[in-house]
Amino acid sequence: MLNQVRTLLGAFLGDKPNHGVTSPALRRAIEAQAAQLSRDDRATATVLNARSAQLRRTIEAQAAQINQADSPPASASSFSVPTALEAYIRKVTLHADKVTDNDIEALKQAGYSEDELFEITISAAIGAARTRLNVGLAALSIEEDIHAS
Amino acid sequence: MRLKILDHGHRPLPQFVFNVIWRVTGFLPGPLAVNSYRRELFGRHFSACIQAALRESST
Repeated sequence: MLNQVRTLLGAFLGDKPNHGVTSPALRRAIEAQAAQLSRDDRATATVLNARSAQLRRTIEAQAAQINQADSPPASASSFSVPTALEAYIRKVTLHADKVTDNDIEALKQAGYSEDELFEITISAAIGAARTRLNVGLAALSIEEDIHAS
Repeated sequence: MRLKILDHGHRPLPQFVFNVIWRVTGFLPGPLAVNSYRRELFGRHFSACIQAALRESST
């Protein structure tokens, strides 16, 4: 499973310009921003139904550690996401169900094509999903440790 | 779909299949449209993730 995730990340966020209409640097920056937003979202840990604040903190710390090890190269973080995209990325990451036609129209008015919006949306979704996957895996490893001890 | 390319931007073969699905069921599932659009970029790899998550051993 993790291998497939790595392949997905490599294919979509990799350095192959022909793979998309947006630049790989932009896709990586969006993915990293969404991952950060997800990490900051306290609900991510709450959703896991962690049994105590201590456990939640441990899970978050582990997830952050995993994300750090798994994060894109430094060049990605040096690329800043355009301001026009920030609100949209936040919405896709934290409240995807609240994205409306108006959000899409506003970005089209700002000059983004549908293909670009497709890639921007996928980048944000991958960033959010990667963090939540890592948090879930961290929770599982904590569970195993608890049962083993 | 909010992006029109996901309704009408697919290659001929998937577009044909989608037209059949549309005629039979009256709607096109969103995940199918997303995963089939420019598969080499995203859908092919994401489908592999889903396959692994749902079908492979959990250990």
